[in-house]
Amino acid sequence: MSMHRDPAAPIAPRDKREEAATGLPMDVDTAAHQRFVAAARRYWRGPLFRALHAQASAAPDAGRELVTHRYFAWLERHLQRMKYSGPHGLVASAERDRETLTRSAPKALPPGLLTLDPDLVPPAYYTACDIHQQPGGLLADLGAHVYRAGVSGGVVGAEALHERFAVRVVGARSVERILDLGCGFGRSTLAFARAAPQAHVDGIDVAASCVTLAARETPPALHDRVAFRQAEATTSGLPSGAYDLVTSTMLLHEMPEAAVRALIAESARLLRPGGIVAHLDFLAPANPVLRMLFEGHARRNNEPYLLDHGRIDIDRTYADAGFTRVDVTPFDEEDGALDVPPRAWRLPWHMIVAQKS
Amino acid sequence: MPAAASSPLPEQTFFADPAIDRLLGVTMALAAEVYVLRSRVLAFEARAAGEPADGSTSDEDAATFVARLLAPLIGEQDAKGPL
Repeated sequence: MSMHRDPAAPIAPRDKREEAATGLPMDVDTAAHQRFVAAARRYWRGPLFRALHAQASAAPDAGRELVTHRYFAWLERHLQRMKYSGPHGLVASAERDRETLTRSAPKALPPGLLTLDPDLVPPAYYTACDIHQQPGGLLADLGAHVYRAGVSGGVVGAEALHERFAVRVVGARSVERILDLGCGFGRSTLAFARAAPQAHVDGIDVAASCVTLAARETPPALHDRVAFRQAEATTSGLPSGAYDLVTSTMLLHEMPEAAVRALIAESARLLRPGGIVAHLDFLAPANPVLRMLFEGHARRNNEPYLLDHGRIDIDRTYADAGFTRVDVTPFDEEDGALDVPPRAWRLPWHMIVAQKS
Repeated sequence: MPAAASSPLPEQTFFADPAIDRLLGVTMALAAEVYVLRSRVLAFEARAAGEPADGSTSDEDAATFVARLLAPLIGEQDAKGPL
């Protein structure tokens, strides 16, 4: 009997717990590898970050040269690589179960729930870089499955963040038509559908894999008031003045400055007079240590446009697009997230809310 | 950001000597493989003891393993002594 085994070959048994958590079929070796990476990331953003924050705050001129910072930066870069790449990475894991993941064809969905555009050409900036270090990005046909598994253990993948944002935006407002730009695999879209139980919610995303997975994951109870469409946010082709609320979650930081400006203008076109635009995204922190880490995150996590949004004069740009007022407020994605000093490294979430004239 | 390259791009480096970057990559790859093996050994031990085992280690087990592995990166003494 051969003692050799192809590490990329599927093996039994499966890890049912990890499969349930990530939505991705997974063998026990891959699950153990992913559990190791996830634990290392928790150590990186917790104890290692707190040590770095204390050391860098005590020696503000040392900054990037601190040995702890070098290890922090290395781990940020390479734990993300280890999550997605290699024989136990999520991309290889998804490929091993391609047949399972693609078995449920979109034609089985109710009419109107999913509209794909095979002729859509994604923007060049979108294809120039594998964002988040996910090989192939979200345009790969299994890209959404891989992305969902990749964020499953963190704040981004948790329903709580999206529900918290949607509830705060909708509040006591009466909204009947909502558009979710860059909806990904639908977490944000479904959160708005639940926060506004009378509303119809459209989710659009440039990636076919994302809107397809979003439609497949939509509970039947929401089928009659949620729809997903493959479309680009700045040239959506949707009718003018059709929406009470236009929203996005973690979209702006993926776009270069010119595209963000175009999106703000497109949002104004899509809203009725008095309608609301609400974005949940990242703006650089004022604290110099946190700012240094945020700026470094852009390069280390393959986020080439992360800092572009911060270069825009938000008040003026929204005013020029026809909005009357803009509120920019820090967003606590979970209880205690805004504590000082911070308990863990986090992205500097902000809500940007404006009303159309 | 360059357009998608036809050949691999050089990996980012964070240390004055890029050999440290690469060697740390080897170290972490080995650590991950040790954890995969640890998970298998724990599953075999559980089965040998007649306990139910699904081959899945806990998040707490992974956290304990990682804390032992990465604690030296913080660069602090465990017992007070000379610098």
